[in-house]
Amino acid sequence: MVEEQRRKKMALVLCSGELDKALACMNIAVGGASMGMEVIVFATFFGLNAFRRDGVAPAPAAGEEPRRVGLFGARFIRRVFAYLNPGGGGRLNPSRFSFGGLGRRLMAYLMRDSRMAHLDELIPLGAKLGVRYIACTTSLEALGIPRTNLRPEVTTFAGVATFLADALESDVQLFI
Amino acid sequence: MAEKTVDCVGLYCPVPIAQAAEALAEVAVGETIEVLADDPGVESDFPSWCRVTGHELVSMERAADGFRIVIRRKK
Repeated sequence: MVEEQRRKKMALVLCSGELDKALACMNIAVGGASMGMEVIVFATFFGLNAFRRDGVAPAPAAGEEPRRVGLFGARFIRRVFAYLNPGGGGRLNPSRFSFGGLGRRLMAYLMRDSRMAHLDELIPLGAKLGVRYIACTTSLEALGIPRTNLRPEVTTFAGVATFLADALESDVQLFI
Repeated sequence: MAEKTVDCVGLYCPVPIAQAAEALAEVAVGETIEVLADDPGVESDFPSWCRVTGHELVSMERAADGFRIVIRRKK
C-alpha cells in the first residue's frame, strides 16, 4: 500500500547560475513536490543567483558585514563583483545563445509564448507545495551576498552537513 | 568541562565539521569536545552532523560572536 510507505524524498543541489539549469532544477523540484515527495533544494555558488532578489546586491550596512580578514582591496573587489554578478531569476542567461543578455530575453519571450512557467512563478509555487530552499552560507559569504538579498522563500541557511544528512535520507539526489 | 576545544571562529563550512570530527576522534568515548564557530551554517550543520554520525549534541549556545557547541563522543 502506497499510504504505508515512507514518504519519498529528493535532494537537489543547484550549483549552476544558468537559466536552463535553474529551470530544470525548479521543474524537477515542483514536479517532485506535486508527486507528494519531500523536496529540498540546496543552492550554492552561482546557483544562489536564481534565489536572489532582482539586481545588484546592496553593500552590507555598517556592522552587518561578517568578519573579514581585511585583505587589501577585498572590499572593492567585492563591490565590483556585485555589479558583475547581479541576481534574480530574470537575470540568468541561458548556457547557450546568451548573446550578451539578449538570449535570456528571447528565452523569456518564447517561454511566455508557450506558457512555460518562469523562475519567479516556480520558486513560490514550490514553496507552496512544501519545497524547502537552503542557501549555502559559505557561498553567500564568499560571494558577498547578504541574506536580505535572497527571496523570502529561502528559509534555511546551512552548510554541507545539512545537505548530506538530507541527501542520505533521500531516494533521489541530483547535482545540477 | 569539555576535554578539548576547537576554535573555528572565522572559518567556514566545511572546516568546522571537519575539525570537530578530527578532535572527537582524539577523545575517549563518553568524553566531550567544545566547538567555537561563527559560520551561521553551523546552527543547522551540527545537529545534522550528529544525527548522521550518531554522536550526541549536548548543547548549542548562541553568543554575540558566534556559537558554542558541545558534542559527546558516543562510539
